[in-house]
Amino acid sequence: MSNYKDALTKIYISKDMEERIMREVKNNVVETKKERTIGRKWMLPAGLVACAALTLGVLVLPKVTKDSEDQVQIPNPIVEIEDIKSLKESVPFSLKVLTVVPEGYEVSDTSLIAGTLAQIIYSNGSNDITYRMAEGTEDISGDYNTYENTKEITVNGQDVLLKGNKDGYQVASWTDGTNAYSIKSNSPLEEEQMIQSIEEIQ
Amino acid sequence: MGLESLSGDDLVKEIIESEGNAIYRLAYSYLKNTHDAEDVLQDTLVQFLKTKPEFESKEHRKAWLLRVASNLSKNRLKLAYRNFSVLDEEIPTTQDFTEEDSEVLRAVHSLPAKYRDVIYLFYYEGYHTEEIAGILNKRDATVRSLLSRARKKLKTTLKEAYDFHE
Repeated sequence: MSNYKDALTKIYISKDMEERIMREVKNNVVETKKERTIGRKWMLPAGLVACAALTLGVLVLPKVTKDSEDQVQIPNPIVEIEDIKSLKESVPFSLKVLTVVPEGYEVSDTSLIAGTLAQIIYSNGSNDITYRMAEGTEDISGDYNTYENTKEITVNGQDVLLKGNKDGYQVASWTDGTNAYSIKSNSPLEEEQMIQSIEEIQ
Repeated sequence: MGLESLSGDDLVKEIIESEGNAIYRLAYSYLKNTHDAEDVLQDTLVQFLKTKPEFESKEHRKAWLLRVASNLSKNRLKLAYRNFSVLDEEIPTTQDFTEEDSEVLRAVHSLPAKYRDVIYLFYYEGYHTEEIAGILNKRDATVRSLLSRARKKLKTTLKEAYDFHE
């Protein structure tokens, strides 16, 4: 046997490890099933509540309608989209997304705003990073806070404006001349983290 | 395949006994420590139970499991890299682990990850390059080129201790 094969043969699953893995795998799968079941259990009472609300609504509708004749219904501009794939199909441009985010972050929300702005929120459970892309060249970050520091850097040949305070940056906004992009983090990120995320947008 | 009647627990146990070490060692080849390798093995099994894929044969199942483990390991490497952190390297220090064992593992660990997986699958698992290409979703020519370059680097590092056949 070669030295390499000889060495690797001595790395194997011990009895303890096997028991540990069996336990963890079972817990992991049971937790996933529990989450799905809780969702289903709530559907029945929620359904009853919905029926009650509808009935009540029908009973009071004439009075409400009479009092609110002059009110204009404003449709909600934020439409939740199922996933990134569907979001790509919903926007009138070729959507690029973040392929690199700091460790621990996962996609938690994908939305279309006013039919023209794509928004993806990545969350680690305690902080959100919001990525936006739209046609045009304006600032689409939606962030109007005042920050101590602003810095212009160049990433992939594009000028990016970073905004933040002494502990890091919270907003990055830029345009490639056709589309506008922004990244906004509730907690400060390091400049390098912002750069890596922007560099790897695809 | 005749294993459909096994319960989840029995199926996981059967896979651990049959392909567990292959998955674990592949993950170790990427991540260079047993702790992260164990996590990848666990995640691979969870993925298997959640996806419930169907296989034509045990070989087919093993190839699937190795591909999942490879992807999960690469994700961990990517995250560590992006987070500016370095995964702990761990060469076992148990009694049966010799100095020659440590030397050859250190030499392989010094290679970039893209060489370590093909080295493992070729020299330890005994797969042909076409099979490795299928598992890692690469072209056969790429696998052969990676193996050739890995051998050159290992020859330089290991010198007289080099014994990776061509």
